[in-house]
Amino acid sequence: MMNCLTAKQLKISISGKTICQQFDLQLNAGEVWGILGGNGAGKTTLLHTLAGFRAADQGEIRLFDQAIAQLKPRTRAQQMGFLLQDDQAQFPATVLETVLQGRHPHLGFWQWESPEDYLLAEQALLKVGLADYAHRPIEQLSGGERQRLKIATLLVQQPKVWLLDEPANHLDLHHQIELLSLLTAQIKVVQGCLLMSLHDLNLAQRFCDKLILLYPDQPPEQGCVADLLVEEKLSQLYQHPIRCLETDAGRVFIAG
Amino acid sequence: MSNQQPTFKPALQRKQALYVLLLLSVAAMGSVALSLLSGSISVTFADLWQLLSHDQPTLTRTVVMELRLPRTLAALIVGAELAVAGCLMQVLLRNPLADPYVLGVSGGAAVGALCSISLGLGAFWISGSAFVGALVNLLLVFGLAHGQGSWSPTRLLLTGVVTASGWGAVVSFLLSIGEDSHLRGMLFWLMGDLSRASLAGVNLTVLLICLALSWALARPLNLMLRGELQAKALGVSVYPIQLTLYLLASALTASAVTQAGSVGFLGLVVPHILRLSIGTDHRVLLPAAALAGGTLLLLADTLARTLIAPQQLPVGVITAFIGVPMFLWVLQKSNRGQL
Repeated sequence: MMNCLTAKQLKISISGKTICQQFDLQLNAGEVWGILGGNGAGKTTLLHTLAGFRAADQGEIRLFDQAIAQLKPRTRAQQMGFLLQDDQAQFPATVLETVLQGRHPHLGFWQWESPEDYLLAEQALLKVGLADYAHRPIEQLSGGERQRLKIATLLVQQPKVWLLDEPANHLDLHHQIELLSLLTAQIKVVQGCLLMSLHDLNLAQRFCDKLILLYPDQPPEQGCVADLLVEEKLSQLYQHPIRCLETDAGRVFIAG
Repeated sequence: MSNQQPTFKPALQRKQALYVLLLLSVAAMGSVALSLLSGSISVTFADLWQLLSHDQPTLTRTVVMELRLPRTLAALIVGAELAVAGCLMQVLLRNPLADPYVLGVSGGAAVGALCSISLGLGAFWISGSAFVGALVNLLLVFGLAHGQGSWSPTRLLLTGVVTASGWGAVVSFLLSIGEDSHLRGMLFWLMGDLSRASLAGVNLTVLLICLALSWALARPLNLMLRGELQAKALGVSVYPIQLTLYLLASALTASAVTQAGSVGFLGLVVPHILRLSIGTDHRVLLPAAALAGGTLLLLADTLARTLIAPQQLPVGVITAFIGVPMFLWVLQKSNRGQL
């Protein structure tokens, strides 16, 4: 099985707090991973470190067998896409302009976007249901529509390794299911892998193959969904009683 | 769907961009002609044509070639420099309120220039010391913002703004102890004035080099506006580009300030007017800003020296008179959303 992203003996700490130590991780082609943890548990920090945005205290991260610290940003961006939790756009731009920026890592230095790039952008906007908004200024979009725009940008980027920081943020129930289905289906097509932080246990159960639990008071744990999504572990994870109900729609998790 | 042609036509958008640039070039040439024709001695188009084809030394020739032409070129170049510097500074600091002077380049230059004026030195020394002042500021702000290693646009902005207000205090001090006979010159310098402009060749070189370098970075600049991390995620080497932006914007501003003092408003408003009317793609925006900035400053300077002739107004006053209503009008009209 091809491994897409690996971390060896990783130590990450932020403001004196250690998030993980001697942490090994291997994401293989075709796998969908979830990160669960309470507020401030280090989900975003872990994702940013794996993406090479910040340096780890110790250890090494390899993307398709190349050390991520040594990769050129452009080469990295051709293989790895990142969905940021917050966007900081302060200048006017249209939906189409923004989504086309996903092509940046694939364009040469002097190259302009070709008709094929525009076609990709258009298809991505269709997939997330924003095709009619192509010429709208992004400030006029709602929070959920902006989230869909970011996902469209990622689809246009066509990476193999997808790191998503709370992809379900701002999305209504319909779009949560639809877009996560779209993204996880995309992983199988390109033989890539996906790692996302989530707050919704039911989404984690529905879409993830494997999980990383970032506990507040003990080292992180990783494994299959079936082993980790159990009341005892989850209650410890969130420091709050979590109950698992068997319904005719399958298992459902609720906060007690 | 894979065989479908895109409904968005990139070629069409590129053609529109070309038209915009063509239109702005025509406007720039028109304003050059206007500037050469207007003034205390009336010159007609026929005279201009004669000047170009013959070279007998006449009074008209002297006035146009030796007085009006250098000043016209200086205005065009300084305006272009300020507008491009404004664009770059806004990207670097990711702040719509940033202008070329926000990091104190003009403050440093002003202190240099005012010292020279109060010592009664000539134009060469005024320009020279302004340039040295700008350079000192460049190193000072960069060194301080770098401080303990971490560098961020916010830190840079704060360092620059505080340094600028420090320079402001020195300027007030120099004004308050300055001799009456020097005060007018000092005030004109502070408001921006092209009557002393020289060295068009050096400025043109600075402008062309900086414009070419920043145009080469235009696509990464588009991404930088989306935020540092977003740019990183899409494969932009953020830090080297920030450093380049800082140096380019500072060089452009220093060059403009050395020529014309601190001409306010232009560097803030021209980028915004263009962003609101033609969009944020820097591949179009940067050359458009150079053309529009040059044209606007040239028109303003032509007004400044003819409006209440023989007396001259500082051009900075006129750029604000033209720029403020124009900006507000574009803001009202624009459907590209708020800043």
